[in-house]
Amino acid sequence: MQAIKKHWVSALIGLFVLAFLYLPIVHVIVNAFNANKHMRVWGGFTLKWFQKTLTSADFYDAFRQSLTIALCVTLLSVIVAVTAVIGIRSFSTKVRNVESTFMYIRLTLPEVILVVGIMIVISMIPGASLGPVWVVLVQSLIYSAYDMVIVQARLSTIADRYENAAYDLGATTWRVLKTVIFPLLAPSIFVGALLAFTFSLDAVVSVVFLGGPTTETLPIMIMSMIKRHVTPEVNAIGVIVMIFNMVILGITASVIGVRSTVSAVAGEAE
Amino acid sequence: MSEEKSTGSFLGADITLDHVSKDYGRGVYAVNDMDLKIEQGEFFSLLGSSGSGKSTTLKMLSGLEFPTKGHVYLGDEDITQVPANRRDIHTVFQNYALCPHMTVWDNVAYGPRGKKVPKAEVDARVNELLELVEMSEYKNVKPDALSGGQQQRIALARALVMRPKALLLDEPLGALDLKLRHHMQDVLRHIHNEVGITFVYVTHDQEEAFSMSDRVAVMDKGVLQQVAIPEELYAHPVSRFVADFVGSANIIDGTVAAMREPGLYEVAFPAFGTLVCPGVRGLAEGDAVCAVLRPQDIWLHGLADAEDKVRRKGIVVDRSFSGSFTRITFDAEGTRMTCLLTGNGNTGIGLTEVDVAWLSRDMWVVPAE
Repeated sequence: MQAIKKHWVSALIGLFVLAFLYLPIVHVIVNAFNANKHMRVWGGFTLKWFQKTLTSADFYDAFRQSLTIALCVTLLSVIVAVTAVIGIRSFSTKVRNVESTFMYIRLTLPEVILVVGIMIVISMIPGASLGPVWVVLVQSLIYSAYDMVIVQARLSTIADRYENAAYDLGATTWRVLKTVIFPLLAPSIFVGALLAFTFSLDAVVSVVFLGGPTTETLPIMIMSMIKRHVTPEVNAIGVIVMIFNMVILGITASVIGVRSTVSAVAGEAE
Repeated sequence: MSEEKSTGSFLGADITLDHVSKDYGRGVYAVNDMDLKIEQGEFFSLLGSSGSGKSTTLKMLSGLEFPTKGHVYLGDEDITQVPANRRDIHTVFQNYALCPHMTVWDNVAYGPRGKKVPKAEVDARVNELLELVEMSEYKNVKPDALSGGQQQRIALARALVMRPKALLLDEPLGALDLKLRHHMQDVLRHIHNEVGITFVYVTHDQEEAFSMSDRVAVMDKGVLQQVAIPEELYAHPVSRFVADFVGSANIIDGTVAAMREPGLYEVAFPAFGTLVCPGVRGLAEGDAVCAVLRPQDIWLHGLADAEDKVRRKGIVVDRSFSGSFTRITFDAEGTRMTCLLTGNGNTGIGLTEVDVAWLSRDMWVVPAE
C-alpha cells in the first residue's frame, strides 16, 4: 500500500480502470430499480422490471436452458480436463508437447472460427442437425482447455512430491490417485469447474451458431430483447444473474476456502 | 554390525548392488557400474556433490528408478525390477512430502492402512512410532502447522511404521538450520539404534556423513570412489578427489623417487625436498603424486623433535577465527597451506614469519591424476 500511495499516477490509472469496469455495473443495478424506462433520469424506485421478468415464461425457459447447458458443460469439461491431465503424464515428452500445443490452440483460437468450422462439419454429417447437444460438446471442448491449464499447474506442484511418497509407502496407483492426487487437486478442479460454468452461462457465439432454432439461452434472449429496443427488464435480468453468480462464487469460497480459490486460479503451490 | 539389535518388530536385511548402472541415454551415466554391499543394520552414507549419482542410487534402491544394467538385492531377493510400492524399503524424502490434507496420524497410518493391516494393529504401530519420534501429542495436527524438525520426525515415523528392512534417507536434514540439524542427527542415530534396520543415508555434507555413519561411500560422476569407515576415508583416501572432498586438506605435488616398501615411498617435493611418506599401494617410481596433509597435523609451535620432522619457515597471510579454532593460512617455500590452532594458541600470531613443522609420516600420498 505504501508504494501505491507514492505512485499516484499509477494509482489514478488504476482508479480510472476500476471506474470504467464498475460504473456500467452500477448503472445496470441502479436502473433495474428505476421507474423511468428511458433510464436517462431517476424516475423513482420500482420493482416492476423484476416483476415482469420473474413472471415471464420466456425468462424461465431461457434460464433453465442456460443452466442445463452450463451444468453439462461443467461436468464434461472437468472430466475431460482431469483425465487428460493425469493421463497425459504416461506419454513421452514429444506426445506431451503435441498435446499442450493443441491445448493452447484451443485457448487462443478465436471461438467463432472453431465454432463455424464445427458447424460446417455438422452440416456434412447426414442426419445430424444443430441443437443444444452440439453446444454442450463444443463448449466442453473449448472450456476444458482452461480447466486443463489450472489443473495441470496444480498437478505439477504436487506430482513428484506427494505421489512418490505415497507410492513408496506401498500404495497402489489407484490408491495414490484416490487418496493423494484427487484431494490435492480438488481446489483446482473446483475452480476449473467454476470457470467452465460461468463461461458457459455467458456464451453467445457457440449458441448462435450451433444451437439451432430451438436453443435460446439467457444471453441470446437478452440479445434479441435489445435488438428491438433496450428495455429496463434487461437490467433486472442482469441483477438476477449477478446475484446468482455471486451465490455460486460464495459457495465455492466457503467449500474450498477463499485462499485456495485465489491460489488455484493463480496456479500457485500452496 | 550384523548382530540382531531389533526388538522383534523390525528386521533388517543386506542390500547388494551388483554392477548397477543407470544410463539416461546418449551415454550419459548417472550411475556407472556400482558394486556395493550394505550390511544388515548398518548406518551407511552415500556422500557426494550434486550430480554425483547418489540420489539416483537411492531411487534405484527405493524402486522409483530402475537400473539399465546390473541387479539389486535385498537379502537374497532380487528386487531389481520390483516397483516401489512392493519393496520392503521405504524412504524419508528431502522435502518430507507429508500429505498436507491429512493429519499427522493419517500420514503415519497411510502405509499400513493400504496394506490391509487390521485397525487395532495400525493404531498400535502408529502410536508406537509417534512415541519413538516423540510426536504423540501432535497426532491430530496437520503437517503445515509443524516445524521442519517436527515434520522430519513424522516423515521418519511414516516410513518406519511400514517395518521396512531398510530405510532410505535422502538429505533429510538439508532444510534445517545448523543447531536443529545437530539435534536431528542425534535423533536419527538414536532411532537407528532402536530399530536396528539398515539405514542408507544420502548427503553432501561430509561432517554429517562422518559423524553418523558406520561406513561412508564417496561418489563422483556416477562412480563409486571409495567405501570405508570414516576414519579410514579421512586418513587414507585413495585419490586426490576423496582427500579433497572429505574435509580440508593441504595438497602438495611431488614425484615418487623410490619405493621403500609397499605403501611407503620416498617422494620428491619441489617445495620441500625428498621426504619419506606413507601412501596408497601400487605407486611406482616416477609417478606424479600429491601428498595430503591435514591442517591439524601442522604445528606452529612446540612440535617435539622426531626423525621425520619437517621444519620450514612460513609467512602468515591470513587468519580466520571461528570459535573453537583459528585457521591460519601461510606461504611456505611458495606453497600456500593452512593449519588449525585450537584454544588460545593463536594469541600473538600476526601476519609475520612463523616456524611451521609437521611429521612426514602424517602425509599421505595419492596419485596426482
